[in-house]
Amino acid sequence: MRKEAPSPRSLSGDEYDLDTVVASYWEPVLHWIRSTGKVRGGEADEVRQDVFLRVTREIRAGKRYRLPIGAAIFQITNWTIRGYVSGAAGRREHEQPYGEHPGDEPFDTGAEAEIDQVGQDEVVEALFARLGDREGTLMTMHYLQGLELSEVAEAMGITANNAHQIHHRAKKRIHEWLVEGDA
Amino acid sequence: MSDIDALAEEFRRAYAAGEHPDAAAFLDRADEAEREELGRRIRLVLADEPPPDPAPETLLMVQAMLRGEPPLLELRTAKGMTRDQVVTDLREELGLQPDDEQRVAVYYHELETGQLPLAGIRDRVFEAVAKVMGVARSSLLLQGPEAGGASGPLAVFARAEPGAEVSLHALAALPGEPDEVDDLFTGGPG
Repeated sequence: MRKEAPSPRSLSGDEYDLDTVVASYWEPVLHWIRSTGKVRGGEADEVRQDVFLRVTREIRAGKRYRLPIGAAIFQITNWTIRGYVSGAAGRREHEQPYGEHPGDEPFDTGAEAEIDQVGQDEVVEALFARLGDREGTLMTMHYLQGLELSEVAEAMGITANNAHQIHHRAKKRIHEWLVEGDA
Repeated sequence: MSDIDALAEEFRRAYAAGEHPDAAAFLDRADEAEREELGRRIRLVLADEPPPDPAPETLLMVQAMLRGEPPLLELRTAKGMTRDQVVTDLREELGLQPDDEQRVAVYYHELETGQLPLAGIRDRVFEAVAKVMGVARSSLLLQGPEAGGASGPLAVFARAEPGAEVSLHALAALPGEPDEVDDLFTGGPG
């Protein structure tokens, strides 16, 4: 390999070497998550990704944790698991009508005026509209308005993970329509 | 020493030795009534023990991720493996047929460029990718869309810049009726 791994024990005081912190705790955090038995398979990897997105963002912003870095990361892991499990409960109940999912909140329909202003492709707009309120809104905001999925999630009052699941499902539905010549 | 004590101690030794013990597999070895307690003991180990030095491959992938580059691509490149080679190895490791190779290639591309939601990927795929790339499953760094994959330049479902059209050709390139290959890469968790 081209690069050597520095020892995590080089960490000292409030000075965080981001590469070392993330690399050192990358594996322990997955063990931590899997030890809870609350998430399965790739869900644990998704939670781990969310943990380190937050840790990375905070350290880059200059945050200094009051806890030792390992304890802080594990605490963030616990918070992330709780949030994820709550969101996953909604995803697993996706057959229920929108609005009955734990953690879901109604979309602010005030954004519809903005959507109208940026509609450039009538066919795509029609496909997105046919998806229904939630999937259609997410796809419109993401593909036609150019918002990041995380921004769409915030606007729709859902979790980022929920947004990714809706996004994936919507793509599959559109594909089915296209393949069946039903678009 | 009770079974649960023995399991916790076994986990501690393996973790300290850098042997990548799988916490979920340890839970499976305990009686159902004792799993929660074993999980708590495992977390105590993780909190008490200093983390083992990360493998060079882990550091390499983390550094790529922090630079905003695809970690799996960085690892493959560092190991001097071609994508075709990895795809063939992965397809064989997953027990799929040669006819499936093109579809595996598409999914591997999405995996490598961070376009697949991690929760949808089956355990078998994580394990197979880790084996093909020569790393522990727990140290494998796969990125899902949350970390920016959905906005990557190679996204199948290309995002529209303000004023640009969304191509129907891109829509038509989406995967077909779900089959075993689709299930492996999108049918998870578990």
